[in-house]
Amino acid sequence: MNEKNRKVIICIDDEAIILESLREQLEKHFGDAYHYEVAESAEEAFEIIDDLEDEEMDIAIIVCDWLMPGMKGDEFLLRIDLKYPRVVKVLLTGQADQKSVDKLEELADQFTLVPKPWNKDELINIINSGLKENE
Amino acid sequence: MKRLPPISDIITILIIIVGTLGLITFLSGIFTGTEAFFYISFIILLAGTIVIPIIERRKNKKQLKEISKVINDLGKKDFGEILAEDYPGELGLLTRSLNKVSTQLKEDLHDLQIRVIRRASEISMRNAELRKKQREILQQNHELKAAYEALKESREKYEKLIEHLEDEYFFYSKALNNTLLFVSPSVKKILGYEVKEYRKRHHEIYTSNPINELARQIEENLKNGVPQPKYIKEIFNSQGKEKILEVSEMPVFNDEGHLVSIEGLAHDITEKQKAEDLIKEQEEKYRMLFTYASDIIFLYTLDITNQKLGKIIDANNYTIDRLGYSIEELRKMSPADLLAEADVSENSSNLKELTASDAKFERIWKSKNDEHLDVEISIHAFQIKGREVAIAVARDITQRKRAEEEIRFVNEELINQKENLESLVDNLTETQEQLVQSEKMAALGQLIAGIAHEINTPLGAIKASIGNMLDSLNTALSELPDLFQKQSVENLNLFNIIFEQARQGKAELSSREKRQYRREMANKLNENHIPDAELVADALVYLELFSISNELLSSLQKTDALKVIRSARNFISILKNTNTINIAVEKATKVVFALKKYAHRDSLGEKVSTDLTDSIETVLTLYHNQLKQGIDIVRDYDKLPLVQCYQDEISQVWTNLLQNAIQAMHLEGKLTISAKQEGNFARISFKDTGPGIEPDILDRIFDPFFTTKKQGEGSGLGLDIVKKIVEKHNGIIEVDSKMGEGADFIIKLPMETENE
Repeated sequence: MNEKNRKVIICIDDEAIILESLREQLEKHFGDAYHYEVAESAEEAFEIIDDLEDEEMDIAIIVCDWLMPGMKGDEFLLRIDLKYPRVVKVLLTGQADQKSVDKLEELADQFTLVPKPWNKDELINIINSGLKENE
Repeated sequence: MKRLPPISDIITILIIIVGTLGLITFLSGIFTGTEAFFYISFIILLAGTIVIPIIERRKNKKQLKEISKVINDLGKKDFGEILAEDYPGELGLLTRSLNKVSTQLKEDLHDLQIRVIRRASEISMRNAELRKKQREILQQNHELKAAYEALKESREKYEKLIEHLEDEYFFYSKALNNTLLFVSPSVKKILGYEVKEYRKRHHEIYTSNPINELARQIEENLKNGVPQPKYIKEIFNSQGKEKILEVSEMPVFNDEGHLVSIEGLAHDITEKQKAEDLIKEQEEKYRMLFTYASDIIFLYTLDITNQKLGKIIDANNYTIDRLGYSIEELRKMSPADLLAEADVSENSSNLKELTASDAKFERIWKSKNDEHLDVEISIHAFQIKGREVAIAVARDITQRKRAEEEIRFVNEELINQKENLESLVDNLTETQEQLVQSEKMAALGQLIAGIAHEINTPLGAIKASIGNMLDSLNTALSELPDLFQKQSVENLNLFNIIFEQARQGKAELSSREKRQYRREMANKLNENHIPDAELVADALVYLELFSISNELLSSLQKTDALKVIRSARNFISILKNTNTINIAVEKATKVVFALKKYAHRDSLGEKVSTDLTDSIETVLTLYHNQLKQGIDIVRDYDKLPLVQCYQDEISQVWTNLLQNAIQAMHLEGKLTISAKQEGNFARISFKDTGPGIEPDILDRIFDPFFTTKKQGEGSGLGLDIVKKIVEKHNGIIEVDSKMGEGADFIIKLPMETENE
């Protein structure tokens, strides 16, 4: 398969254990249909995206943690949404603070909120339906 | 009848005889000088004086006995009944004589008695007359004396009167041409002029007082012979002082009826006039005082015997103005008529207006136009010409009353407000307590949210890892027979290489580093024409093979590299995910442990030995998810002895300070936490690199409800709670802040030994 034809899935989380396990989970499901990139912060993700643009690779899916040092997940996804509205965006959050959750849910048009610990099938379904919408 | 010589005569003759003999003997003795005569005379005299009387007495006694018998008999019988024949001899003669005498005596006695009675009656009458006369004389005497006294007194009086008159009056007579014909000398006393001087000057000593004009007029009129009333003139006395004279002048006519002169009497009334003027002036003053006083003043009569109020007699202007009644109307009224209905019932039985006392009392009066006025009255009773009257002085205190009423009202309102405020304060205190509680709860809520994240993250990793493991194991197991049966030596060799390298402990690499390695390896694989270089590189990075040795490269060249590597990856995946689970569990355990420590409630209400840095670390753990977003924690801990603390409360202190620091720095900056020993104190400092605290609010930050945060973001109780907890530990909290450099909160807690 031509590398450049593959679309990209980006996972962002400051916790390595999440990043690794999430990436593996997605890779196991979507297999070689996608190219997988991981970043420990939003800033790093921007770097990756810049690189991908240079390589003319399309981003299909971004799964991002909310609470991270530096730019927070919601802000990052909003920025991404401005530039890449067709990318499927999922915000993972471990926060139980209902107020924050309510605030994030107001942005449901821009990204989908998935609480930690997440269910694999649920996450895949959200991504798939997102992909379908964007077809 | 013949009279016998009395026995005493005989004795006397005897005595004389004996005496003569004695004397002769005595004289013979003297003349002869013979003592014998002398003694004989003595014996004779002795015999004469002693013996003869004895003899005589005995003889007399016998005679006396007989006489007394006759008298006794006479006494027993009436005269005449005693017969002379009854008695012998002389006694019979005696008896007859006595009878005769007795009869004569009886007759004489009777005459005498009649004469005596007549005489006595005469004397008695004369006596009475004399006594009467005496009384009359005494009376006359008395009257004369009184008359004399009266005369004397009256003379003195008149003398005094004259004297007095001379002090005040002088008489004169003047001719029609004003020439004084006569002036009484008292003019000197009154005016100080000698008669001569007065006569010369009397017409030129008038003062300029206008009353003199009338006086001159009257004087002129008198010259026409018309009697004039008394008049007053004012003149200067010899000392030039004004004297006021009341003058009575009478025209004097001669027998032909012609006016010849004028008689005058001048009365000095200067003093009287002065006194009168004074009284008049005073009277006028008091009248003014009464009339124009700005109090209600009126006089009324009293009927003391019937305990009734009389009518008002007089009232001042203010009374008329204030009450609206004319003086005529008031004179028909009694003070009780002034009472307003509101006051009548209370006071009609209790007329204080009847008794004068120093005590003031209050009344509500009604004016003519029904206006009510409050007055404060004092009453003074006295008598005018025997009539009981009272003066009432009433001060209008309506305004004062109203003010008092207002003050009372305001006062009541103030009391109400005070009560309201007190209950408000109570409510506020309660609310504050609730707020403190809710602040704690809010902090706890925030903490829980953070902790949830801290636990949910490892849980998410664990869940995903388990899924990955199962997936990998399934694939590995399904590939296992093929692996054992069909693998070539090259493939197995590659397996070995992979497992060997994978089992070696690897340094943790960042995603950026890994990406770098992946790119390098993909390039190298591409250079060596290994198919699916990108995917192989990906897999190798996953297997934590970050460099391609020649051995690996040749091995990759000889086999279906991707397939072999992916097979190996399934096994490594189990290893890696297990590792991830371990890390995740460790993380979660740490958080749960910290939470357990933080929420340690076993020692609630009791101080326990506490490792302060340990309790700070616990809080830091719980806030990790926030701190990791951009805050560097710099720890500067000394080894501190254990401190006696209310552990959960001290944790609250670190929590609040940490939250403040995080918020001040907006999740980015450096927080230096130091723990030092300073004398007997443990000195803990939280120093942030936030914007600092403005100097003008520095002294208010510990006040309850003071907050610089937006409404709804902070209760303003955080530092208040901190301060209270520190003070509960007898500690001190200070803040040191410079704008632009951050704030440093310093807490000093006394270190007590456990025994204390």
